Amino acid sequence: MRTSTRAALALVVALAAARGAQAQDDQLVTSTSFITGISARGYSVDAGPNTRQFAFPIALVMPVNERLSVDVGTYFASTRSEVSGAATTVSGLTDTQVRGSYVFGRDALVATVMVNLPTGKKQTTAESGVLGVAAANFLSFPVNSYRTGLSVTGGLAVATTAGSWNLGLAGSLRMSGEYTPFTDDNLTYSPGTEGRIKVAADRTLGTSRLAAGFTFSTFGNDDFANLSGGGNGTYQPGNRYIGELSLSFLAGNGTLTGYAWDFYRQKAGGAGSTNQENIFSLGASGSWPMGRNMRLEPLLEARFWSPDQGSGSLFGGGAALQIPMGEKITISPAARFDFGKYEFTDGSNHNITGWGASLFIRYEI
Amino acid sequence: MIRMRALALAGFAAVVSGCAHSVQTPAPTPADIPALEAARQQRPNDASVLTRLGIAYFDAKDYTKARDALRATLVVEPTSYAAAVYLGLSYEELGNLDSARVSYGRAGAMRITSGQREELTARLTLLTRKELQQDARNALAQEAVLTQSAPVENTIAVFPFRYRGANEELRPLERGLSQLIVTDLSKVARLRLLERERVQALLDEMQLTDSGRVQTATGARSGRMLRAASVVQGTLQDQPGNGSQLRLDANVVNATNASVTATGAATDRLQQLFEVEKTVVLQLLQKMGITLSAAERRAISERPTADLQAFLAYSRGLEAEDRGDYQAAAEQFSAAVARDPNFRTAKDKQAQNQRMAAAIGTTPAQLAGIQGGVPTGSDRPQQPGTPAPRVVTLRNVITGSIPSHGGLITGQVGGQPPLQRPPLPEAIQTDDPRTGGLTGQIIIIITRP
Repeated sequence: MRTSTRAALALVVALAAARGAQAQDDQLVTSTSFITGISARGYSVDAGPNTRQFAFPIALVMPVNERLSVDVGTYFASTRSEVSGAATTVSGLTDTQVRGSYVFGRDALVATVMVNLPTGKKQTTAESGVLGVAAANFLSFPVNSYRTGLSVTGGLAVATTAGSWNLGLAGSLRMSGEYTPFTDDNLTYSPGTEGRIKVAADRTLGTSRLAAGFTFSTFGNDDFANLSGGGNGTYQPGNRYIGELSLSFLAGNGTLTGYAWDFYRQKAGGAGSTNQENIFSLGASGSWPMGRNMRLEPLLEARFWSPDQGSGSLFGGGAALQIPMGEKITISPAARFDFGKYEFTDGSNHNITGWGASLFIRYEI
Repeated sequence: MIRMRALALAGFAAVVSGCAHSVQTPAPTPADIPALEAARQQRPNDASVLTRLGIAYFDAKDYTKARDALRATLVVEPTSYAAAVYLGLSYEELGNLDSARVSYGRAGAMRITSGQREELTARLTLLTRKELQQDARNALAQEAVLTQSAPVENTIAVFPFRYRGANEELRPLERGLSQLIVTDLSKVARLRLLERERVQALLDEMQLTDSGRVQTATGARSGRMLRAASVVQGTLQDQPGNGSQLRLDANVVNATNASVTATGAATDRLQQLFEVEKTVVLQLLQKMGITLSAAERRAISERPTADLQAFLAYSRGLEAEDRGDYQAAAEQFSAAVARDPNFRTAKDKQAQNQRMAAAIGTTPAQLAGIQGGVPTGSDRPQQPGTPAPRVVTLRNVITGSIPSHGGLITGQVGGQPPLQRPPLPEAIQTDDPRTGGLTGQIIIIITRP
């Protein structure tokens, strides 16, 4: 066993032991969990491309003590995209993200730091197309990026009650280092600093629970150097806005939640930019007990995509099961199916079908 | 007084706010309602306050308000066992037994102890008895409609037999024989037998006289209310001048037109009671035109016990059960089992009645697991791993502002907006899902040499 692996295991054991048997009702993370499994997603467009991804997540979420909690996560992913009979597959690790949150006072103010470690697979220029499809916000692949550079995100979050409302506010700043994304090109890329603010509110409404949120992200310029044509360049990402609304209520012996969210990305700066997009999603999910401990969690969702030119829509449904296997292990199989349409930039319409399946295993240490 | 209680609550909240451990306070009483209502005004999302208020309303017999407060608790804290149990109890008091069953089912789906599960099972058994009584009341109230409805084909209701004799010790056989015939007829695949308890509940609700139970018109009327196609009625009587001989007569009455479609009769010594019953059952089936398979005939010939005294004790148990005296019923069934340890039906009934007797003796606080007090304080959950509402809000804004792989890996497929930017595909515009990433270009706003 490598020394670093042994040291990491020792650290996990020591931290878990330090946690002891504290009461954790109001902690951000109440128990140490190790999560792994498989998550698969695929989409076929009748005019191509056909893309599928298998992702194997590995995550550890743990409270270090009553105030500090840590999560570590990465994936091994394999993404394959086929366009006009030519298929490309990219397989490898993604970046590893380590996040720590420290609670000040009584769960009112939380400081969070997240470090993105560039453990992900580097790509060739020929593979950038596959990774582009996986990155599409409209499709929600489990892994939308294999490798970026080292980055550090710091942020503060507060929550309080005001009358009938629970209110939350969080802000963060992400600073990214320069990196070389391609193995066969000298291009260097330095993403701009990202600032993000999220406000959220929730309350009980009669016998229902209403939650709303709004997120705003803005970016500094991304810098390129050693462009293949020579010289340097800058890309100015558009701001992002996310609005979310959900209403949960009791339905039989379970809970039903109706939700809607809208993601809007502004056009990038610069002449010729056409990459603004809006994604609106409307759905309902539920959670009902089946037997003593098992829960059924069905989901219905409609998603509408409005890029600069053309459009897309997806209508899907699926279900997940939460199956406890004893006190420590929970298995969560899930599956979904989607169908919809794309309007291409030339005005032609094409059918799209999608599928998703996952099996997660959570082990509470 | 109210102010004092509010101050006490506020002081208590202040004490627990500095403590990470859940604390229990005595279960609330109706006197706490004003203070708890004031606390709810200040902390409407506090599951602990809502639970305590719901319990206080329940104890004050204000079941509508209790229901509303406890439903609100379960929205904030879906795994509150106490709230789910008290909600079930409130629904019972409001006469909404279906919702009560759902609430107990919700509680039963939580991570609870085996003791709590047993108590819930017992409560559900009691609830079944209540449902039978409610069904009977509803049937009477809707008699005009039900009597016009077509019966369910091949459905049979067996009435308690009427004992016409001087030996009061044999009177419990009225119910024992009825149960025996239900058991035997249910072995015939094409027949659907109504539970004896359901039939008895309707007859109790109708408050029929002894003679009324054996009149064909009454039988047909009751059968229609039960939507049974046929009713079995009968008598058990001493044979005068014939020693300890008994005669069993039974009729099958068509519930639609009150005509007698089959009859059966047999006479023998009391010790041969089971033989007499089997003879009558087989006669009835033959006259109903039912041809039994060999397996059905064999099943009908089986006797629950060979011990008449055990069967008499069993019959007394049924009598006690029907009048709601579950403790006495359990004792009678126990006596039957003591005489014949292989008397399986008696054994089952003994366990069932012991559970119901225990359930009747269980207070709501015991059932809800709060006899030691209610977990309280600011947003304290009652099930391990349940986050307080404000913590949920915090998690939400942290995930939205600093999403991480570890935080995002969940069991649900889909349902979330895109939270992490994939910078390079966006910058080189390969992230249009329609193109397969083939039209990438870098949008350069400033080019430097």
